[in-house]
Formats: sequence, C-alpha cells, structure tokens
Amino acid sequence: MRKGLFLSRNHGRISATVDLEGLARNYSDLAFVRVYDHLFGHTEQQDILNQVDRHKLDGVVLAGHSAVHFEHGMQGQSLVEALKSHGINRNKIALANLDEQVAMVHTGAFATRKAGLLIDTALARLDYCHDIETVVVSPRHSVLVIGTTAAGIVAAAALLAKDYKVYLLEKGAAFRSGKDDDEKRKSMLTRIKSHPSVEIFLNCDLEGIYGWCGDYSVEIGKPSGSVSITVGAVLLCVGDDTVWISGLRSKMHLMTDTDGFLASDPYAGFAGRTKDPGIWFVPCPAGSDPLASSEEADANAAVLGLTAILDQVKIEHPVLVSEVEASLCGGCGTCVKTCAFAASRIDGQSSVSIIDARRCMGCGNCVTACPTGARDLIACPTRFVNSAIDILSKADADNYEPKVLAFLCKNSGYPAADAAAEPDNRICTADDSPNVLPLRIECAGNIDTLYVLNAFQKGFEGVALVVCKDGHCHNVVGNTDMERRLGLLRAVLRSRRIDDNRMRIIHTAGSEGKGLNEALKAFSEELREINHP
Amino acid sequence: MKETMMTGKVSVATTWLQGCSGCHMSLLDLNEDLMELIDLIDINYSPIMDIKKVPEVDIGLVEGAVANDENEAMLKLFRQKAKKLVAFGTCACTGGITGLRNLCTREQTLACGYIDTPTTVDGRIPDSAELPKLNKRVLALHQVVPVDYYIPGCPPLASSIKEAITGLAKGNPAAPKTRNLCESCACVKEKLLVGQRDFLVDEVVSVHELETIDPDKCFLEQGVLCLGPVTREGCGALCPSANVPCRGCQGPPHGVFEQGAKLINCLSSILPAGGLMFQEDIVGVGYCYAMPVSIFPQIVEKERSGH
Repeated sequence: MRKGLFLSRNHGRISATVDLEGLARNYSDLAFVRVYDHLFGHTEQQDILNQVDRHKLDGVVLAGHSAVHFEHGMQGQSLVEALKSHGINRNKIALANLDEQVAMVHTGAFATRKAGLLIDTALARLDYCHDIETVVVSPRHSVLVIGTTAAGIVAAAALLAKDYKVYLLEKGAAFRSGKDDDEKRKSMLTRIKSHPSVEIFLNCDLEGIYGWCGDYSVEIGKPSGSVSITVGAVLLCVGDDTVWISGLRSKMHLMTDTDGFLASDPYAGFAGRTKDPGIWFVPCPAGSDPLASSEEADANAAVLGLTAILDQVKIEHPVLVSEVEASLCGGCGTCVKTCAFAASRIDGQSSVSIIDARRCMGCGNCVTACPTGARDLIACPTRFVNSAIDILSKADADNYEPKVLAFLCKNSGYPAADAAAEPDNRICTADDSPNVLPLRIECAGNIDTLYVLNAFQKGFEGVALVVCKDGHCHNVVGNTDMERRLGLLRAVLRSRRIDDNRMRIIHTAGSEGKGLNEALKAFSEELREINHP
Repeated sequence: MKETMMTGKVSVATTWLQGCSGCHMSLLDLNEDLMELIDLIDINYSPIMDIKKVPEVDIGLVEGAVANDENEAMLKLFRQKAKKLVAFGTCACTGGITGLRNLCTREQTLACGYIDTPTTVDGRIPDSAELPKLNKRVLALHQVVPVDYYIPGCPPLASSIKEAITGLAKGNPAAPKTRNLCESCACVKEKLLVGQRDFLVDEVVSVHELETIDPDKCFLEQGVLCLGPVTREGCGALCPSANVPCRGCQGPPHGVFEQGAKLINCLSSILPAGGLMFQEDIVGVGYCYAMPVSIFPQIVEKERSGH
C-alpha cells in the first residue's frame, strides 16, 4: 500500500510541543510525508489532494486534529469527502490526534514520542483495515411521524404540503393534539384525517426499525397484528411522554436529558437532530434542549431539515458491518443471540452466520461474543486493536508511572478525552499528566476480554474502559454486555494473581472532561498504591 | 515421505511426556484397525515396546506436555530423530490437564504433592540427582520445538488417530479443523437463534441437576454450561451426543488462542453471569485444556512494580 502522512501544526499549537519535522523524517520511508500549518485550509486541502494524486496514495494518515472534527465538523468532513473523491476509501483514512491527546496535555520529549506511537497506531490501522463498501440509497419521500401531539399535526401538515407521504403513529386511542377550540388546528386535523397520502395508526406502537437514512423498514404493532412499512425518515413528536420515550429508546438510539426528554445531538447544532440523520424529533417545550424554541416552529424546522436530506437524489452509506469468515463459523448462534438489532442469523443451508447490513450498527458486540473468532469489525478489526495495544505498550514516560491503556468508546470516551484536554478541565500540570495511552474503539460491546488480557500481558499496569453512562449506550446493550464480561474476567485475573482493581470502568458523557480527569487521576493513584504497597 | 528401507513402510516412533498415557490407550483402541495401520507403518520405538534407543524415523508421535527437564530432553531428541513431529493429544497441543499446574508455583506444587497431603508425615521433597527436575511451568510442545502436525483431543478418538497417521504416512494429512464443535453437534437450537436480551435460562445448573435431559436440545438452552462454542470441532460432538456437555478437550477453535476469555465473551450474553460464578470454577472450566497457551500462561507470581 502507498501511504501518505499529513501532519498538522495546528497553527503552532502542536508544533510548540511536538517535533513534527523530526517525526516527519522518521517516516521518510512512506510514499509521502509533509507538515502543514493546518489540514483544513483551502490551500492545504488542495495540496493534500494533489499529493494523493501525484504519489498515487491509497491510504493516508491525517495526524493532528481530533477524530471529532472529521466526524462532526464541516471542515473535517469536507476533507474526508474530498479524499474519498480522489479514490481513497473511508477505511483507509486513519487519524492520529496529536492535539488533545498530545500537545495539549504533555510536554518535553515524551510528547514527541507519544505522537510517534499514535501515528504508528494510525499506520497499523491502514494495514489491518480493508475497504469499506458504500451503498447508495434513493431516499423515499415518506415519513413516519410518531406521536399525534400538536407538533406532530403541524409536522404532518407541513410534510403533506411538500408532497410527502405521511404515516402517523399514536400509542393512544385518540389524537393528542387537544385544543379543539383552535380553529386552525381543527381544520388541519380534518385535512390530515381525510388526506389520501396519510395513513393513521392509532392504538399502535413501534416494534422495530432498521435501515438507514432515506430507507428505513419499520415494524408497527397493531392490536390486530403487526405491519411493515418503509419510510425515508422518522420524526418523533412525542412531547413530554417520557414513558413512551424510554420504550422507544430500546428500539433506536435516542439521547435524553436528565428529565427523560429527548435531546439533540450536541454536534448537530440544530434542534431536533439525532445522531442518525434520518431520525428527527420535535423538542418538548418543557425539556431542557437549549436549541429548542417553540413547538410549532420546531416542528416546521424539523420538517425543513429532514426533507432537505430526503430531497437529495441519492444518499451514500458506508456499510460498517461486522463480517463473517465462513471457514471459521460453526453456526453456534452466539452472534444471533447477542445482537440487539437482529442483524445476524444462521443461514439454513450453509449453517454459517450471515449479516443484514441494513440492521447492523457496527457496534462489534457480536465480534466480541463470537467464540471462534469468525467475526470481525470492518471499522475496527481485532488484529488492528491487538497491534495497537502492542504499539502503545512501547510508551515510556520520563517521570510518570503507572502506564494505563484507555479504551475510549467513540461516542463518549473519545470526546470526553478531548474535553479533558481543555485547560479549564485540567487538574494536573503538563508534567505530571498521567501516562494514559488512548485507543479509540467502536462501543463498550467492542471490548473483548482478550484485549484487556493482552494489554496486561504487554506491560500495561492498568486498563481503563471509558464508556457511555448507564442507559446511554448508543448501541443499547454494549455497556451491559461489557460489564457482564468484565465481571467474569475479574475472576480470571485474580486466578493469575493480577489485582482486578487494575481494570477500571469509567462511565462518562462526551462533555465531562473534568470528571474523566478526576477518575483517571484517582485510578492512577490506586495503581501506584498497588505497585508500591 | 521416504519409506523404511527394509519393509517399504513408513517408520514411526512414539513417546509420552507429562500426561496420562491415555492417548496411547486410544491408539490401542483401534483394535483390529491396528492391523490396517500396521500394513502402512512400522512402529520402531514406543513406551509400549521394549526398545531402549530412539531410532531415526519418519513420524514422531509425542504425547503429553513438557513439565520437567527429562520431558524437554526427550522432546528435543524426538525433534532430532523424527522428520515429522506430531503433537499427539491435547496436553501436547495446548498443555491440557497437565498445564493446570501453572496456576500454582513450582514450589507450591511440590509442597502439595510431598508435604501437605493429609496422609504425609515428615514429608520432604525428593532431590536426588537421578530424578528429573520439575520445570517452572508446563509448556505445550510447540513452545519448546517446532511441531509439524497436531492431533488434539483428550484423548483423541481412535478413528482420528488412524486418520491422522494414515494421512501423514501417505503424505497428505488432513487440514486442521477450523470451526467450533457446534458445527458437528446434532443438538437443536431454538432460543439461541433469536436475538433477544433475556438470558436463555434463569439459572445455570450442572447436568445431573436437570430433572430430565432433552437429548435433542442444545445444552446451553437447558441451562447447562457446554463448552462446544469455544471448542475446536474434530470429535464429532461425541459427548453431547451421549447427553454430556462438552468440556472443551479439543482446545480452542482455530481463530482463537484464549479459550477461557472467549468463553466469558461468548456466554456473558447467553447465560446468567452470576450463575457461572456460582459454579465457582470459571477458571478451571475455561482453561482446563489450554492454560499454557493462554495470554497469561501462568500465575503472575509477584505483582509487578514499576516497569
């Protein structure tokens, strides 16, 4: 593979601490290496793309900015899209966060050494990850509106005005919209109830949903049985019905605030957007969503937002599934039982597990559970994680012990670690910053007990698992399954006389940088006590 | 393979290191089939024959794990003398039952055997120069010398021994099995094939605690700990077909090297974890046959301090 390494000074913030020029010389055997002031500027981006073409690169490491910028930031996303259009697969773009994970928290020679290890890890990712395929979807012009609150009625009317087909789902026996004295609302209701493009499901509930933005399959449970419909998007207008919200959360990933009301994705910057671009909601007026305004305006805004997505001619989806090595699969059914999304089944003919890409969320829970190693995650292969553990174990801090490996869930741990680097959240100075080596993983369910054992074997003195808070796992069950696994692993560790307190689960939200710093500091102190009783 | 000059047959030597000689018993279990095998091979050295010196042979079958210095010397000698060295049985392949000793220190093991036993009075650890010295930890064969072929099983089935030796003698040994035991198990699964959050059962029980055993139903679905999923196929699921759950004697499947940790990963979402703990022997269960090849092949004797 022809690999390129693009390093960012981040306007001097990284280069103030890390010897980027020296690092660049270390990697001179790669097909192309260059240090930029920033990776997101227009001229820099053009130069990166030119080098990709000129040197016929098929894998790149972007070393500098946090993965959060590439997933949620406009500039990062546009760089990724541009690289893809120049023939680089999404899975062959690896990132090394030299900013929050190095320059902002470390000083001295260790900073440069750690930066080197993170770049090595990213290069290993290029070696072990194969290409991700993409599926192109023509968005369906139909929307499932869940809840017949006033917002739901307004949204349905707005969707009809845009010529969309609307399915209206209500758990109760009657419309919730109330306010029968409101003439405008009344006429809206009459129109919706008699409109040929509206199908109303009263006394019904959502039984299951799978698919991707533009094309979802939805199972609706009716008193008389269940029906399946296909829609392009889902809009939740459930208001303050927290009971229903918590029921729906077991079917799809929804974020809630402390009161149990739906909350917007913090990166979306748009009231009513969830992590999934095809699933929207209208914020509850009583909720704490800072982006919310009024119910009616939010309903219209959500319709505007989701139709803007569905009005595209096509939507591309990376197929981030877990895959099966058929020659290893004995068809034991563990993956089927484990999957929270019913994405696995055993093929009747071959007795080998097969995956429904439209249902698979790529969380890796089945990969961990698979007892034969037949499963692997395209975005985070087992061999990559083990090789990353190996690489990171080579870290040696100048004056700090113990050495800790932190598995960072990409949905909570990773952004929390970014937040932890912010000056306001720091509780240690750069010189006594704990020797924590970060490794980004897909989900708590992706944490294999073998990874933990491997980390201890490679010389880590502690393993921290930084995952979502209880009930907030984006893949519904990742946390539960991880806790069950690690609970049993403790017995195994003790049997080898490894203190099981060397393994620590830290629950965090993506924003709780200070909390993470405190938890890691406390963990490090306990480890020092174990090391020197 | 080069044939023996005199008889035109393939020459074979066998030995046992630290084990129970069960694999050799299984070889003898071939009964009349042995005659067929003898048409193909000459056994020129074996503990079940009275020959003192190990000759040069085409195939060397080594049973048992390496647990003392005499085992080690014998294995190295076999490696020298045999063109193809075969790990014969689970102890040789992955350490097996013998390898469980790695959960204790050498000193603890010796004390347990010679001093702490309830019937021992004034016990002492023998230290004659004539006696082999116990190694610090038990190793599988491939951890000491290169191994050419593996016949797992505790013991391997007579039929698979015959198949392996025949294949080796004819120069076309069968490729190792890659899947897990469920592949060949006839037990029917129902609940396991439905994605659901509930455990399959409310509690984990031993097989003798079941009121009735359903011979056609997967043991896991009956609440019995069966190691089939984390065990390499190759025995034809002999135990489950006889109403006994798999104990994992074929060692971990091809894609996995850590049987116990994989057992945990796999079963945590299937059976109630507390129930597994209640059995109080998750380590003995999960690592019974592959301790020396696991990620932590032995106890970490002293808590590491610093680096």
